[in-house]
Amino acid sequence: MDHLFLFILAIVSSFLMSWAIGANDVANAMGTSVGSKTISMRQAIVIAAIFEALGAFSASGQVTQTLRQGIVSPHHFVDDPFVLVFGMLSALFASATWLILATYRGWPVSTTHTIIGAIVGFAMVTVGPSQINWSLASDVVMSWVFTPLLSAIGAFLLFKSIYFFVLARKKPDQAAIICLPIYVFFSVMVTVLITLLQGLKPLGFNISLSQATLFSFFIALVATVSVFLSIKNIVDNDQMDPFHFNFVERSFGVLTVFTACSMAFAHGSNDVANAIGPLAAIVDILNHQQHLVEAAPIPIWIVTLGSVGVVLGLAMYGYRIMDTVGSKITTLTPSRSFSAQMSTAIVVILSSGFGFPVSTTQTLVGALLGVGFARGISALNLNVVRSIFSSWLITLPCGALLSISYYFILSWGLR
Amino acid sequence: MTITPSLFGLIARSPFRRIEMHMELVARCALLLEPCYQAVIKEDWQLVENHYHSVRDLEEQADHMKKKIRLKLHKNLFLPVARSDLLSLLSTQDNLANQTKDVIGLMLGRRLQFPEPIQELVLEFIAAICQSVNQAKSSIGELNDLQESAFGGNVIHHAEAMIEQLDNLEGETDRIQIQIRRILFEIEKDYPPIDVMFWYICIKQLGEIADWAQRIGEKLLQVLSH
Repeated sequence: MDHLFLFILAIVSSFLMSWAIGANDVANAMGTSVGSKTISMRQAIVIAAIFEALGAFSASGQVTQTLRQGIVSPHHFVDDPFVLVFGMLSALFASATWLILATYRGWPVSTTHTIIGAIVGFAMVTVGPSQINWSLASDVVMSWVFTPLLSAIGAFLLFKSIYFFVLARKKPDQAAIICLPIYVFFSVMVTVLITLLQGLKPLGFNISLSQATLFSFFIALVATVSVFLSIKNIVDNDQMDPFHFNFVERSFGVLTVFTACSMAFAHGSNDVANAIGPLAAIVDILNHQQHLVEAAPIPIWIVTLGSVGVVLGLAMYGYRIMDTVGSKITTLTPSRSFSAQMSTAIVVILSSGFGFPVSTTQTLVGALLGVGFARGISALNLNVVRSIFSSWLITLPCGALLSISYYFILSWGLR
Repeated sequence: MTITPSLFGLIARSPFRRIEMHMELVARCALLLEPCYQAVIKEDWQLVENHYHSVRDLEEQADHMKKKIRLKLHKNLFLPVARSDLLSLLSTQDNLANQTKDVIGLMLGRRLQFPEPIQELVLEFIAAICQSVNQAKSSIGELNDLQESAFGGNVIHHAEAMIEQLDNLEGETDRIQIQIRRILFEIEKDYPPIDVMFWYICIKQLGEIADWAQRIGEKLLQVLSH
């Protein structure tokens, strides 16, 4: 079998997968920001492009490792490494197929669930269920339960604190000027800190705690000062309202730019790995067939490929979805959007740091419910929630079955 | 190929804005009472009939809107307040429009002319009723700020004060109504009994418009106290 052909096939399928993620998934991450009309479409795309790539480069390492060698270790394939190559290839094909089908039919599926189902699927028929790292696999499944829950709790507390410190004050506008920069400071600091401490490791960087703290403190400070200055510049144009909620929301609008960045970053740090994890595994084998090196750093070019794919997918197709979202989705005011997105971003980035591939969309749904419980959202349609959460129960077996079929087709056709 | 992102439709449209819009429609309907009564005094029955048609149209629109809002407020919506409270607020608002239509229909149908001694007072009565309708409208208008503040804090006190003011205005209409009845009682023997009967009925029904306005305040309070 020609290595070059397999190599190209792997690159193409991984690129397609990342393209599909960019085209489909990013809209969910960014939709709330565009929907709340605080950033324009163009800004959203630029932010998404920059921060998806940043997230992929700086924080996707752990998740990529989970997908590359965590669920099923390459050691089980030492006798015939090409089984793993075919398996990972079929996992990529399966996910891409399922994703395209779901996108076409409008099903709310998650790329993460598809790829995990697909990897487990081919491993079951090749090396057998006993070789799968079930404790990690069940941890991953548990993380799908816990991330929406955690982000719901986080968003609830965050919004309750906004309620307590800003909205319920005698003068919400003045409270906002003082409190909002503080929110920015902590959220930026937490985001950067997790990234530096957890995300960069697999790429071969090592940063000490004090360095990381110093650096994130500095970035958070810059963000805080810039937010403070922009809020100062907002002119309150509605003097009629005794509570100046218009002003408060426009101040929060400044913050949604940050949260949109964090969301794109979080999404890049977690979901890009779905496309490049399997590719990394394939490239490993094709490069050093006999001696599989575990925990080797992920080649930078693979991360680049994934990021470019996502950004291209977004620029070529995703903007259309965002456009629909921006024009049709019911508006969420910036304070709510901030609470939900900030909580989601932190939970997803944390998951990325620990190497859990999670669904950004479901985490965001959890966060929105959390804000809803804090009486922040005027109406949430629980039918949609139900269909989103039940979709992953269907996605897992479908991903597995598809990847098994692809595996048999590939190994029959290419051997 | 049309694409619907998975989050599409999760955030449903706010029912509060629609309830506000419904109230605006209802108030527009009820506030026609004043020009309509002016026309009654001038015995311009053609104008009264025109007003009646506008009132009927607005009432129909409000009714239609109420049905639409009810359909959208399905059981699987997750709301910050009780769904049943919102629905009962909505039907109370709708009743205000119904009541207005009934009163104007009665005035037109019987070509109802109040006797000279109470005519001025009825004018005052109707002005007071319109004031409470306006106050009910402004109170409902607070829903947006209430939603914005997540139903708490200072906005609640503000809304409560507005509802209290509404109660006071309704009390004022009661006071005028009692005064009208007292005068009417003194002069009723000098007029045809059937006319007198309908004057009493009309006064009572006019008063009920203000009662409905007050009930809107009560229902709003119920929504908030959830």
